Amino acid sequence: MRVGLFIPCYVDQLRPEVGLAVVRLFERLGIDFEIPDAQTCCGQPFSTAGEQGQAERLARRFDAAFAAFDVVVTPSGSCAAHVRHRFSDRRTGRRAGEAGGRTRELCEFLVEIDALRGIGGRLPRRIGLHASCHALRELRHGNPSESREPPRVEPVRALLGGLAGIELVELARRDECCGFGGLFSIEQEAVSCRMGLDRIADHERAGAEIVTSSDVSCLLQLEGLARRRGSPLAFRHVAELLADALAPEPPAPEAIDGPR
Amino acid sequence: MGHVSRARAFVADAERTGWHDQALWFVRAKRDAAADLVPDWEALRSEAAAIKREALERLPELWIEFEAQARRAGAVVHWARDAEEHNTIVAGLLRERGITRVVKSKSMLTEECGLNPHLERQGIEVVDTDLGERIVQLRHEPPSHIVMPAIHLRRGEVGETFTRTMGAPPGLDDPDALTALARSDLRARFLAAQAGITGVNFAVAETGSLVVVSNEGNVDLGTALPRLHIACVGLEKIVPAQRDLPVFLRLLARSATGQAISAYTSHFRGAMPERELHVVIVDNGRSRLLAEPEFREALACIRCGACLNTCPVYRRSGGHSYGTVIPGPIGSVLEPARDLVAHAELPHACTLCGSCAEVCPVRIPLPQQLLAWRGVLAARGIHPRRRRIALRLAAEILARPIGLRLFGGLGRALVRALPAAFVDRLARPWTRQRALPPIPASSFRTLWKRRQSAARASAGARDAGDAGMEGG
Amino acid sequence: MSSARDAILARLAATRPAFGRERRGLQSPPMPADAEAVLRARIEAAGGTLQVVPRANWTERVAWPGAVSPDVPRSGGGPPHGAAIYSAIPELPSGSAGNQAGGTPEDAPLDLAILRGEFAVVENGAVWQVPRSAHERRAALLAEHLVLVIEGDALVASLHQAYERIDLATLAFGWFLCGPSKTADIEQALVLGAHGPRSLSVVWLRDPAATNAIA
Repeated sequence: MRVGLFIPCYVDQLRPEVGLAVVRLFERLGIDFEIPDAQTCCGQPFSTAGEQGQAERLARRFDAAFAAFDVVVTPSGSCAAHVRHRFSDRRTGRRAGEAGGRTRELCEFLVEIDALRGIGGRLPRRIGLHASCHALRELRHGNPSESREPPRVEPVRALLGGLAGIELVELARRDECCGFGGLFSIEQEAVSCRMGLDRIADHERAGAEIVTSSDVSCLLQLEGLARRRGSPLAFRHVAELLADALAPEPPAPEAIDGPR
Repeated sequence: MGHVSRARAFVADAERTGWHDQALWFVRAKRDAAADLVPDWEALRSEAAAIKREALERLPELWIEFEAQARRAGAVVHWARDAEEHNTIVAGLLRERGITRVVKSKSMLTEECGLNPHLERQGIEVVDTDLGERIVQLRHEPPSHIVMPAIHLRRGEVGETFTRTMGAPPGLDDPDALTALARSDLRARFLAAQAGITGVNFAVAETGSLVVVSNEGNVDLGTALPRLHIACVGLEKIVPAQRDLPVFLRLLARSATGQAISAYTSHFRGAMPERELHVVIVDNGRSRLLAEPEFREALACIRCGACLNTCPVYRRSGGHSYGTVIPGPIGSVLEPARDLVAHAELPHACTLCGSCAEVCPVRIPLPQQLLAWRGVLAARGIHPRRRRIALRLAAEILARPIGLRLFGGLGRALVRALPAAFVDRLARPWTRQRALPPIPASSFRTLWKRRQSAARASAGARDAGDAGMEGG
Repeated sequence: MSSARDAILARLAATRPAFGRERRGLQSPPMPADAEAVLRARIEAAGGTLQVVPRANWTERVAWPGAVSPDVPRSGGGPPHGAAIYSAIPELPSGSAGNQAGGTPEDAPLDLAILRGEFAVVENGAVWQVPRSAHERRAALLAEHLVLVIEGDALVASLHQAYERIDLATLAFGWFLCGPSKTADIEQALVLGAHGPRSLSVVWLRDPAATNAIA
């Protein structure tokens, strides 16, 4: 199985440590992977802004970059959802992005190949799990709180739940949006921030030490708000937590909590 | 003024925003609990979705059937192409009978048509009888929610309104006392009314029946007392048969308020003895929407308001911020169909979190429709200029890996070099309430390359060492 | 007006959407084993009450709404003396409370309306009621308190079964009533008695032997 790793553009530029965590994780789990040079952006920001033409151009680039791979893995529920569900244009019926069907969000992939079986791992922390809306409601990673469908596996929870010493805190609203929403975070700054602040308050009330998610974009939104307000919460992508928890030599406690 | 600025004004009152959010979340939670008690909830939603779509496929036959049945039962059926025709018909019915006092129960259709001002201009007094609607009527405000019209108001504000208009003692803010006051004031108006106007929840083609639901009993007082009942119904409200009603009635109240069923679910067919029933069937843009493949499923809406209650943006921006008759996700799909330019901000007043689609009892794909409107807006060039320029620039940069590398590197270097306060100002509005993330010196790609060449170097050294040992 | 009609129908006919979403049909939910408990819970959730009483002398056994103005004297069982009552129930002792069935409800304040319900729906606590007259319907709305009397076998599991027992094609008016009139329009605070009755009591006449007659 040839695995191609897609590191979303904003992760590449703003949170390279998340990409490196995926690399560490894959190496620890013995998963061979490649990171094709030609990748840039999946095109989601353009699609959600309604710019189908620009989105399609990037979709074709994505296709070309990953044409040779059996599976494309990305540490972003949102990008994965876009690649999988929105590449085809509902209006024109045109289909760009044949890579969509082969694309997996990181945790989803690890659960699918049962990568953590017998690996162990330890994370003695109280973790607040921020559900990525797109992982949850588009990729159906778990059952949204609104839905009464039969239960589904929530990959992030399944992976973290297997770590020794971890406590996943109980939120009052377990899957409300962080308010990021791409351009929304800029154009609707006031509402966006209020949404994020409400999420932070929920995690704080629940006693979380670290907030984690399968999406860096949600974390950037929440972390930006929390840092400005001097909140003690730490924000780390699930890949970082898994890489630390599974490291052969456990990292120093400060390392788990990440930069504040 | 658009949604953005009105929403900003709403959020500026942090305490009220928190209250508004919590009040609506409470309704959402009640909806969840109600759904828990229905074992076949998701199948019920699917069935309702299928029936509504079947009805939309068969609208002409169903309405012809309805009309024949209703007439047979003694109802008079009118057709209105638009709001103006609707208002003219209703006003005409009232004027012909010399009627000057009318009670009206909640009807988003008559709001949409602007019926009240039309009748008032002709000297006809229209009293909205739903308590929430009465409150906003007395305040000369539009409803802020399609099920809970006064959800934006605090009890003290209702008290002030009643002090001003009903002689309530100043400072009165107890909901029981305020409701009692409104009850006795409105009871007199019910008894004095010469006609009752209602909306319609479901029109049944098979029998010519109209189903109207309420909790307060105002629909029934307004139709049981006066001689004339005028029911105004949008083209999308038809269902094929009586056996379809339970599917919708099992979903409607549970989705709307978390009740298993509303207090009153009334079935009208034709005119009762010594009574008149007039049904006004209204198009007003619905047939046009039906012709829009991307948006016509919005006509399946049964106006439960569940998408408003669950919408994290609606809960924190208030119904008035939308500037439309119908606010929230469904309004942001329906209203741009009436005037795209006026409501260009609405499809973007959404994070695409998808919660609305999950609660919708008739499975309207609201997020996809909002996304589709964004596509229409972009295709027609109805973008704010800043957004268009930013997107075009970003698209060019991201079109090639070299673009991302160069511009990303340059940007990061600049941010790291410039004074933090300056960067902060530059990065507004992101940084108005948010810190910028610490900007890394190197991109992932650079770090990855470095790591690989280091690994290659050490592998090379190891290979060389091994070779040396073998040689030795 | 026929021009508007024709224009609208023509526009609709010109657009024939095809959604390709088939009905699958639904299994009507079965009658729960603890039907009475579920029915009681639903009625109480709607702010109403359920009284299960044997038929014999039932008017003496029912707890009539206590809030009927406190100055109305009560003696033993039966509805309060002197209360203004609209009753559509023949067995109500006509002497006890001045049966006003002949009067018009809006003429004078009405304390209590006692009407017959057709059946109750277990899944939501609603009672299907068909007023025998315009007076009866108005009484149900104008009275301070409403009592609906249903028979021992008058239970259905869900609204699906309910509509199997109803024939709208022959019905000028009928309604489901569930709990008293209510509103939560002021700050989501629930207030009973918005415009109509402040209380609703469902009286289920059921003799002990008839327990298994539940359909």
